[in-house]
Amino acid sequence: MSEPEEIRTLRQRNLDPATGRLQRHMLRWTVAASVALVVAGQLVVWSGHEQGGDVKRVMSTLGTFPSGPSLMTLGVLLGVATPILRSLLLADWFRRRGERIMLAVSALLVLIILSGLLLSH
Amino acid sequence: MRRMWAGYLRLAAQPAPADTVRLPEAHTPAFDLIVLTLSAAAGFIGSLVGLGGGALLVPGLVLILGVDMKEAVACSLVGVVFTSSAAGMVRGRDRFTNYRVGLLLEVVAGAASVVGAVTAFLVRPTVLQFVFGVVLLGIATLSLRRFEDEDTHATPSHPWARALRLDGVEEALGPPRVYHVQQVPLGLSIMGVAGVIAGMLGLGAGAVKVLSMDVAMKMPFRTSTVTSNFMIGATAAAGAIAFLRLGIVDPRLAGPMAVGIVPGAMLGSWLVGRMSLPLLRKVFLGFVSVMGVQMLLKATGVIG
Repeated sequence: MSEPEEIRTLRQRNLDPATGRLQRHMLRWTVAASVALVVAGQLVVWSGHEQGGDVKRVMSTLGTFPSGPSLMTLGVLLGVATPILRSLLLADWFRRRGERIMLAVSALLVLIILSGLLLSH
Repeated sequence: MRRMWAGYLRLAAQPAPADTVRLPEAHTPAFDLIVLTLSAAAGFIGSLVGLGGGALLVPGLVLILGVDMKEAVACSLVGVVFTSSAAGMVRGRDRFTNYRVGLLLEVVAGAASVVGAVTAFLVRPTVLQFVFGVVLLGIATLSLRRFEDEDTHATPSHPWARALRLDGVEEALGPPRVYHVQQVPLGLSIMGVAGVIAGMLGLGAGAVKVLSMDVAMKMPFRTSTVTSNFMIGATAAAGAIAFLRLGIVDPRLAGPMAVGIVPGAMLGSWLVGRMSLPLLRKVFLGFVSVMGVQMLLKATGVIG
């Protein structure tokens, strides 16, 4: 294959502009939402002088919704979930292109990111 | 080997001194504002000089604010996820990011990050501080190396790279240039080390990830750095979820950090093409080295 032909072929493997745009929108909205939740939680804490007690357990903290720490926990969880959403978006892109191996790699990555949930204290 | 491993696990499982496992319970507005400012500075400088914010955040939280080392590492990982997401918002990066390589390497780095997080949970904070000091000095040295792209167009790709269609085109500077990805197993091995460092120490470990792609897999430097920015988020998320599950992430600390990092990283990304950076980079690396030494001194009990 000549170099110009190879360049053309390899460029077609790049993320297409529509998916790239969707990815940037997704990042903007999730980051904006998580920052807004954290700021709201912070304001609730500051205005109500909440100490929140032991906020280390995620589920028990979320159970106190809409307390300051629960809003902040939601914001942090949404932020941490962003790479998972990004990997799912790429997995869908590979699925549409019929690239089964890369689809499997993307799905495996999502499972690995979530594998921390299997840990117990 | 088995006896050594058993000894390591016994040492790691020893209870830490009471004063080092305490979470900062009294979060005052002043405390939150200091965390916010520190995070904004970490995001800004980190994105300007190409090092993740963790190199600044963890020592800042431990040495200045007296936060427990494990808590600082866990919250720093959350901050690294936000840094990566903020960098991903910048337009035009998709052309330079090799998502195929990024996803493949991330499978190893993500798994290693969970291992690193569990190790951080098990070992004593002083052990973490010592390892952090050594790694920080190593990363600062690594970041000073000179980068020269190797022309791999005439070299055939590694069989795994052909099967997974990992090759790409570098279009950043001058005419487009094809690169063929080499030594995929070596790149995956280095990425395992990067993942453990990230999960255990709360760092993005971007310098090690770039080393894996640039030196081992012979990818162009610019492609390696942009792909590394995409990857650090997934590695950090794997470790952060493990820490969340283990109950170490305090949202009252991680939250203000995330809020500070995002504008800092966005401003840094915007300024990166508008500033002369070599001097700033050297000053920052010198600063990181000093903090690495301080962490070593704190771990060994020379300073309080």
